Amino acid sequence: MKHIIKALFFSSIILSLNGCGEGEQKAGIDPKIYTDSLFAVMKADRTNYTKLIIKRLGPAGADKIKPNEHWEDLPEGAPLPAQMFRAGAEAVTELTDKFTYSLQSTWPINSQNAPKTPMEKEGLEFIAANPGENFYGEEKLGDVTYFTAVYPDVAVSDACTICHNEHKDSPRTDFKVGEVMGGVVIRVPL
Amino acid sequence: MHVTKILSVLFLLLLGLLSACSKDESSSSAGAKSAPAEVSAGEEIYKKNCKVCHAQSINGAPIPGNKSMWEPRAQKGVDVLVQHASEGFGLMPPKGGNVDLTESELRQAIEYMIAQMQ
Repeated sequence: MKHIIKALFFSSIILSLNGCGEGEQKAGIDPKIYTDSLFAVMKADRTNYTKLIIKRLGPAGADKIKPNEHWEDLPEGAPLPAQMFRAGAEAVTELTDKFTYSLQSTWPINSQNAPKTPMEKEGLEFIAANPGENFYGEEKLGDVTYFTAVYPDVAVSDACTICHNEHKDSPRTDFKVGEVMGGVVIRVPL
Repeated sequence: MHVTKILSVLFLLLLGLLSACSKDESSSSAGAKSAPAEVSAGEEIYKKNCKVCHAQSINGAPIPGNKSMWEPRAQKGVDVLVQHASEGFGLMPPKGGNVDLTESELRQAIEYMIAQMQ
């Protein structure tokens, strides 16, 4: 009988200390919160570049700069918001291997920006079919398991749709404003 | 008798701890059983036309339910917001890109988004 009492007593202690096994899960930051936070910063920077630089100084504003895909060839050329975003992704790749991000599409102008893993493809298809929703999953690449989040990239102006629909390398020519054109893939090693 | 009492207390204690652990599960299954809420016309219009940008704050679009984003906008009044949405405002394209949306539909969607603040 003493053994039963002891067993019950210690079980209670262990359960109460263990916090229902949640202790382990709560250690560190939830990868979803981590990638959502990274995306919030990316979005804010992209919006501010569009609003404070392109709109203010471009043809719709003071007309002092020329936002253009081939901006490097023009004296007043300025990178398009999507190109600025890619430049950030490339700079981050040099800075750290704690996370990566990229702008991808199932209809890319540049084939290098097509999804490369089954999860990227699944995520891009999900966000295109569910406007306003994100996609989250885990994938194993080599020996490492990654948390992969895919966020929608939307055609927000005629400039986006005209450029993609009329580009000679674009595999799709019927984009409309308000449609999901691709997605931002953020990958974090677990 | 004494041992039986101790056993009873410990058993109840274990039962309590275990039920506390399964609290989330039971509440979510209770939620699943409840009838789905009726979708308003405004919500329907929002989901089909506005959610793609507003749910994510694409180009700064205010997120429904985000008080700090919506409060200063709501203070301008619904009429002004309908006009902005209809003509385009800041980085928002006219009618969010869907030229078929009527002013009445824009109003319903805006009122739905404002209502999410509460």
